Amino acid sequence: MDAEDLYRQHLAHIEQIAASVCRRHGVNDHDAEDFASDIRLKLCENDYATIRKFQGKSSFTTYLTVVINKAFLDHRRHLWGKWSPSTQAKRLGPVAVVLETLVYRDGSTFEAACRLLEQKHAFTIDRRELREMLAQLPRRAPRRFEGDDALGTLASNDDADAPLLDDERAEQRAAAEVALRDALDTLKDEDRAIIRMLYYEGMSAADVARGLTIEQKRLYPRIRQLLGSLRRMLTDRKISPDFLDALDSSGTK
Amino acid sequence: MDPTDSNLDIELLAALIDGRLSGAERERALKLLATSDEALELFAHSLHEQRASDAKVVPIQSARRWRQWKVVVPIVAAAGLGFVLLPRLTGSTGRAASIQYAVQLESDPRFGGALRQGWDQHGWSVTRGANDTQTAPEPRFAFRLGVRSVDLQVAVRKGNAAAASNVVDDISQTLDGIKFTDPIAAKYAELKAHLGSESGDRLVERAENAEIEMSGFFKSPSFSLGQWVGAADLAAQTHETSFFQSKHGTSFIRASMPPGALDAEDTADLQAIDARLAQGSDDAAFNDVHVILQRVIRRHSN
Repeated sequence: MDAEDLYRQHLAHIEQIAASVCRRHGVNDHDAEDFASDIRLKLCENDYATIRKFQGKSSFTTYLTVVINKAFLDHRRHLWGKWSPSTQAKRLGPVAVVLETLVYRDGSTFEAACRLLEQKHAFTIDRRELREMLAQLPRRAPRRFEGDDALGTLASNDDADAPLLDDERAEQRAAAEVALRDALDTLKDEDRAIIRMLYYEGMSAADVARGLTIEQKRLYPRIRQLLGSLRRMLTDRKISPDFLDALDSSGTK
Repeated sequence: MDPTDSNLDIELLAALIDGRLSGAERERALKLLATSDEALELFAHSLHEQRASDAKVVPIQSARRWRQWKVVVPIVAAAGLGFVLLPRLTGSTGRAASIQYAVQLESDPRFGGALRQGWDQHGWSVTRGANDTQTAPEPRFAFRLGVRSVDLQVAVRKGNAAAASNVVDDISQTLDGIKFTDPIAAKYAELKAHLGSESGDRLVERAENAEIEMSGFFKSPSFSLGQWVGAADLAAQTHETSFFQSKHGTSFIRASMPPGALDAEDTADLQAIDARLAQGSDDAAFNDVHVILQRVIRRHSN
């Protein structure tokens, strides 16, 4: 079967994956249609070059899934720059990811973000819960200044020494990140991949096990062992083990 | 730009997701995930997408087509190939079995209204998993958790926070102390904390994620049997004929269990259910089926 036939045969699947990727990322219908037509175009370009590269190592539908996700991430990077949701937002779920995007990437006020979450993204929201959620997200520089109303809703941090303490904490965090990176470098590739999938991408143990074809039951003790060894390495470097938790929510990679 | 025009070996990641790599190729893929943020992000997104696409709900219409296979499936099982079908139940397809059962039960619009008070009580003794210090927990705990995963799915889909809360408590008590189940217990605790404040869809998703994690942990025929028996008992309690006539009827569980997983008493009970329903599906028949299924539950959970 030639590349064009393969493309035509899987066209419905391509549409389905593209729509599903957009839906999962809260892309509106209009933009989702644009993305779907863009991906169709990309797959046909240069006499179906992307499809001709397929060598049969994986199933074709999985190959398409990865290709379409890659195209989506590239597209998003192109639109947003290098911005991506923090690990903490991913951990808190899709509402937190959209909230973080609206407030910290787009610079929406808290109230505007709530309205958009309700109207555009059709989330059922509780504003008090959202405020708590926003307070849990790492502060990131917005592109525009927050309105006074939004600032009033954020967790108060009136301590006069706060900037100094923030600087000190940022330094400690940077040192901890370097130490953690060094500690990760000492692990085997598979172990490092497991930790990165869990803590950088916020994947569940079930997904990690599925993705790496590892028995889930054996994964739990292995994770515990790996975390124990990372903690020991960090302690040796005089980094408080508490920073493992802080790093989880730092959103840095 | 061609999405494959990058330093990333897209097909290598796809093959890893499909579980088709071994040896040097797998090592290469792992190195990529260990060192490249871009590869890691792409892998995570694609895996999630793959799982979501595996998880598409089987349309009810296709159940009719499945009935044609009801004869073929037991033959496949008899030929010793039953294990091929087991992943359908254990959730390795990425779909929580309880959702499929709940969707089937809800295909009868009377289902929710017909649930009696106390449907979420099973009367088994409160034996904590704390006594079970083995990494391979006793089958009775896996069975109970299977039953409970279906109860929970039904409760959250019906918006019954009180029942969901009771079921989560029972799940937590059973998990308590079974080695390495802390992350699973944490997922259920988180779900409980959001009962009443989160949308039904989100709670269903939480219950599904927790169940997939639990099912993957136990990978036990007892867990799968518990799920089926739990769903069948709810169907019996609500006098729902369609469940037993659907692709999820007794033939399905017989065909799906690995050889030896059903003992002589289980087989006799399944035959008794078929025989009783063949005589008619009136109230008395369903009451008898309920009694049979309660017997199965008692036998496997205590």
